[in-house]
Amino acid sequence: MTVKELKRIRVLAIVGIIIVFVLLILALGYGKETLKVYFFDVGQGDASLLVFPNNIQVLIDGGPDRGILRKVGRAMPFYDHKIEYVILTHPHSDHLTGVVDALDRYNVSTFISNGVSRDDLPPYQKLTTLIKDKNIRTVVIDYPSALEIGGGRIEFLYPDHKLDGEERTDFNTGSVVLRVVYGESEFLFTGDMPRSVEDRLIEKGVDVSSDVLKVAHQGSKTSSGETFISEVHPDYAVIMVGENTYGHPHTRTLLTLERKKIRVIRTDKAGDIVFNTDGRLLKLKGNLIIEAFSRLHLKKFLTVLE
Amino acid sequence: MGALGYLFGIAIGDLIFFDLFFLYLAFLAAVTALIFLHRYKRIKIFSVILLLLFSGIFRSSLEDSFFNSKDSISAYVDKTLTINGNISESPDVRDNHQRVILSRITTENGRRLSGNILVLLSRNEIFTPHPECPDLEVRYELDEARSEGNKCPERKLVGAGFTYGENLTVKCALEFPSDDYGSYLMRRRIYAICPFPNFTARGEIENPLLGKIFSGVEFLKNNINSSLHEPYSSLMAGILLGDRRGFGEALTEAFKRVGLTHIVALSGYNVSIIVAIAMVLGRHIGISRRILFIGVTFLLFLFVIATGASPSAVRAGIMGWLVLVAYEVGRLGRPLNLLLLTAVIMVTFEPKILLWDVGWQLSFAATYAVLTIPPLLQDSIPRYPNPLNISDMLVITISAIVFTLPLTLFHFGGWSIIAPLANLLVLPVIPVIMALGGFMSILGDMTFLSFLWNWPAWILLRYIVTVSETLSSIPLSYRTFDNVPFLFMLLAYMFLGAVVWKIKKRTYDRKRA
Repeated sequence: MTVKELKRIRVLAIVGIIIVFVLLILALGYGKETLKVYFFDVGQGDASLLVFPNNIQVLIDGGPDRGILRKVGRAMPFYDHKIEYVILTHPHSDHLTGVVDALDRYNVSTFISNGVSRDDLPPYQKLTTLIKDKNIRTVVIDYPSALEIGGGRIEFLYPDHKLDGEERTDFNTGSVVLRVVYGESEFLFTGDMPRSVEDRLIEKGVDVSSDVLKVAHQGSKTSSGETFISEVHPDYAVIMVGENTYGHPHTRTLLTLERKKIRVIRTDKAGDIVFNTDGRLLKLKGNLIIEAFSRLHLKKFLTVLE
Repeated sequence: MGALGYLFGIAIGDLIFFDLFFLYLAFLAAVTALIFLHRYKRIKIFSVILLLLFSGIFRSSLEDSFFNSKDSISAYVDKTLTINGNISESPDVRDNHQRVILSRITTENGRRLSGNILVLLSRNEIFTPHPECPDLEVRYELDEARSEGNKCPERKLVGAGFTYGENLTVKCALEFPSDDYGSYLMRRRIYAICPFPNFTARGEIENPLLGKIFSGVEFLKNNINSSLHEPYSSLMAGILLGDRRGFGEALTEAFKRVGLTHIVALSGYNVSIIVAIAMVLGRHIGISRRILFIGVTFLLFLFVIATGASPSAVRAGIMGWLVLVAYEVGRLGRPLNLLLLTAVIMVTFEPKILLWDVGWQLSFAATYAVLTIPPLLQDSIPRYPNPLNISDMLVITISAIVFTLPLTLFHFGGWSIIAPLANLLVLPVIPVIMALGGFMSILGDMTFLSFLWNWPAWILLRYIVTVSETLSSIPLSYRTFDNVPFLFMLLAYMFLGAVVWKIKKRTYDRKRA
């Protein structure tokens, strides 16, 4: 064999390895009939991503800053630059700001909100411009409705009427509440909804029972009443919270959850939280090692070592 | 020797206050000695060195006298005023705000102030259109607009896409911190902070060529952004364009812990190592010397232009090019002198960098190491099986790390123990990423061919992220020290110097024998 032939073989081998590698990665992403639900650790604020089969993504709120792009970027397959649905539960900046960045960066087909605008807020003004410039379809939730996506369903439970008056100025009250159903697994996203809305939903007899509850408003005491928690009856309660001066999550909320023997997972302790379900089996993934560490004080031990 | 004397003089002049008059006398004395006693060789050399030393001190003192004057911005701290200036570095965009440095400051009545200002701006600022001026998108207070006889300015977005060289007018209450952060800012000639101005107006980029370049760079960045997800797109922009846009705290911290921060920083450190690695790799693959030289020179040129030809980019480019020359011309000697000469020229332009610009010091140390050490160790490297010339790359990275370590310890108090491994794993793919990034940023997202560069680039970038995250999570990979004394750094460099001298002498002796 001459040197030239050797060289050619080497080049071919490298190209071959790369192709196999790429195919492998593609194969990993395909053929999975599961729903993945990410609760991102974005600090004090909310941001979650649903990934349905066939790479249909739904972003629910965007957190307080641009950090969401890194989170979403690592959760999406590298060849997919389209987020099919973006849902803004209400226009407070700890939910809104990241949504604006996502709309700016990705191809978004549909923008879903409660229709309350915040023209005093620069990010909201940018949102309006972006929706106009990029020609994004907008949907306003003003009656209970449902959206069928890739074998699953998103039920919009609230607002169940056109918001007006005070509901448009006290932004939390108008939060979009949605329940994601995939086979036998359900997830309840509550935005920052207060107790009054919880009571209203229970009164109307809306089915809110879910396996996973995103605890409303960073676990504040203004939400998560005892009756509502019983009604939802979740296995897991996710609290999306960061460093803050409001005293979130409130001890009362934590006690309620503990009394009902619900497993509480906090983004400030566990980092990003990922649930995976095939419609029957619900699995919790993510930085559980970190959570375990923090529980056993192993992390403290490690920092002492350093 | 003379060059060292000059640099030393600059350093002294920076640290100690000299009266310009006495300096003048001393200077005169040295000149006289040189004129009348030039027959004695020792005195001649001595007085030349002294002369250079004095001119160094002089240059440095001149700088201080500029900035202590009452025309300095520091005289306006705690006052509210309208300032106009040019952006002097590419903006540092964080997750929730951005930092812009303004230089060439003038006040509203046209008075020129010395020093720079750090302006904090929100990221999403859009201007409320005023009823009387529906197209007015700049956040003017209307009274101001009227008194200046302004018509409604053009539609423009404040808050996004600031570039180096752009002209900016802000109105705000200046402040300045008196703690460590303040003294850090002082060293960068920043004498005031303007936090979130309540009035901002953008002018044109004064230099039309720069304007062209930046719209070009913006085009490249958009292409990268549409081809890759975060944080990979930020990383690509960082590697390719030295863009300091946020990768987020977590990744920045991980890079710091594994000693990889330099791959996204715009410095001679980065450029020198990468040029050296690219040369080693290129030669190994079998590209001819000449093509490599021309190609890499061209790429360096493009790199400097693309990063906006800011002073730090130009300096980095020059140092990288010196390494290239060393590899092209053959070893040592001249490139080292060239390095000293460039240092002298750079320091004459900006005396402050010598003592206060850590980036510059790191660049200088690393470039020196890359130029000096590998040729010296050439013969003593054992010839193990050596795929991709790993031993050469290892020598390059380790010598750069060793020679910058005392500096990083002194300035940052941190030592990344795992850095050699991390660098060895990551540096070889950097030239490849740069090449792929070139295609990606120029050709963009052409739907059916773009996967040819997007996918491999994604894999490699992800590889870098994974490597740094994995290595940084290993306990004990990074050690911090409090208050490393200056003496330690001095001794460390003296020790390194002695070692280099010893090895040099030995190889010299061996060659003669």
